[in-house]
Amino acid sequence: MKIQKLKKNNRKYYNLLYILPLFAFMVAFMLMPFITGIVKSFYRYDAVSVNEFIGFQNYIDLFTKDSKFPIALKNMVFLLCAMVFCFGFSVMAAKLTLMVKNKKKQYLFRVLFFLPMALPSIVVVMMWKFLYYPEIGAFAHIFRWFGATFPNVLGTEKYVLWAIVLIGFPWISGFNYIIVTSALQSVDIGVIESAQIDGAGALKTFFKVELPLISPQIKTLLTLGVIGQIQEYERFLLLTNGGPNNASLVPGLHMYKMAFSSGNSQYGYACAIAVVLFIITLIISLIVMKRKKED
Amino acid sequence: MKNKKLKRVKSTHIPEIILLIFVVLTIAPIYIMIVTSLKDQNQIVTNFWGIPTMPHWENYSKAWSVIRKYVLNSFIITPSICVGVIMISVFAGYAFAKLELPAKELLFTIVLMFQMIPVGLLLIPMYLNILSLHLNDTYWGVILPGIAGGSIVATVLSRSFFEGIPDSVFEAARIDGAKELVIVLRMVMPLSLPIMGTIFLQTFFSKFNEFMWPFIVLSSDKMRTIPVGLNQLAGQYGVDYGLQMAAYCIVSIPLIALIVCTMKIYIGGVTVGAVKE
Repeated sequence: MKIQKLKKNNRKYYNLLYILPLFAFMVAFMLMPFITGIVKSFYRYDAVSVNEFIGFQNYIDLFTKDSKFPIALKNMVFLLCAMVFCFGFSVMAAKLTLMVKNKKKQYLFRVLFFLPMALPSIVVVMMWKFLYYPEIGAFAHIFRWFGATFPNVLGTEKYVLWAIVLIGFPWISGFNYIIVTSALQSVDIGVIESAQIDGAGALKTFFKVELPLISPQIKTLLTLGVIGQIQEYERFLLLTNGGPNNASLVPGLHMYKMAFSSGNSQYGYACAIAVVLFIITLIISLIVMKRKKED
Repeated sequence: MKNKKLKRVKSTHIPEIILLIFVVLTIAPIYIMIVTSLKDQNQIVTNFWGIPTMPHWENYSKAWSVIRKYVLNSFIITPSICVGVIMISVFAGYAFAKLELPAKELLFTIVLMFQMIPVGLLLIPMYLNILSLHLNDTYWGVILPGIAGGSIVATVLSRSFFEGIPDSVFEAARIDGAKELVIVLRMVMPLSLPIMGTIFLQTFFSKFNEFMWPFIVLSSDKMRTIPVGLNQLAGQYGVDYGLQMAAYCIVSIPLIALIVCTMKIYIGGVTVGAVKE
């Protein structure tokens, strides 16, 4: 009996071997950098000559001396609002697709909205950069039809953020589109029909009945989108490098430039920015998780 | 009567018309990319929208000779990450779903907590760690962190996959006296082929597209992956738009082909993942 139990216990620990590789990778390439990041955020550190503990100085500088950081945060908030607006288009496209009665046409629309998802994201960004070129880009041609000149939108402070938001218009992301479509399909038809019998129009049924029913999926997608947007700076690096005059600077890019931009190498300071962004995403995730529990 | 019928026809067609406009707008940049890839400087200026009468196919051969090395690098790095992620997550998912582990719930909660660490923000400390391991400018410097980043979501996916398989399947084998290793090789591996497919596709797409991390780690030109190389191209061949567009078309082909062939698996995987969360 005792031996058997011992054997069982042994097996239990032996089973840990199955998850050992996962934990090894998580510790080496996530936990270690995570800790390094937090520790180095309290240092003045350039990886070569300077390595000096300075307490909260990086954070204090970030919020009091750094003139770029508030601009970056402001831009981030603007982009988050834009993201929520753009998300609406995926929901709209999903709903409209399901309203197409002809099954073949419906399938065709699904495939057509889904396929562009396969384009490498960098290709999409570079493509739009080309469309935006003054003189020779697509927008320049369209403006010329109306006798107007298309400004260099990516080089003008006033327009640059709007131009970056417009990328991918009409913003139907294959991922969001599939999930919203399958969520809408799983809504019980009886509920919709009874709403319609009660005299609710198509629009009212959609906003008052269907949308609340698929709100768990929408919340998940929006949370993923928000967290992704807070970290995202790749396209800003590729398109404008934050310019002109920091008009398209976002916190992630600020972090990147502090670390890798020529002559900076302020790794400690960059880590402090990362920690602040991490705390922001953590707060958002916690709020969402709490709301989910309450539901 | 006629009026009513007309109205009805209209209202049922409105969704299609709006969707058609959306599709055209979504596809338009891709169309421009393809036609521009066949043009020279002059044709881009004089005939921006149309299909060129004299297509310059040599744009493709020129582009290919430039990006060949990047394609090779990407096709070494991305599949390696996928294989690593699959091996780690299938075993871990199986163990979390079907085996006895000490402090199982706690361990899985830790995995879920790691999922909340935004990888994008680990960029700088990760770079410092890779520097200290002397892995910068090597394939390993991209592959190893890539495996770590991809394995967590994949483990959650594969755990829920194995939970869907009845315990009795494995119990029966165990009662028959099969060794654990035999069970893993003869049952777990074959059973998990569908989830392996899903994980492969999701990892492949996200890692093939990854720009920032390879951009920082792979500093020499011969090591660069496709996204990093394409960015380089825009700098080197500034005004040769035909060549650049040809390069974009070439690198889009493998992903489009892959997604067309595996659309069912991919859509299935994406929706399952989202519902389970």
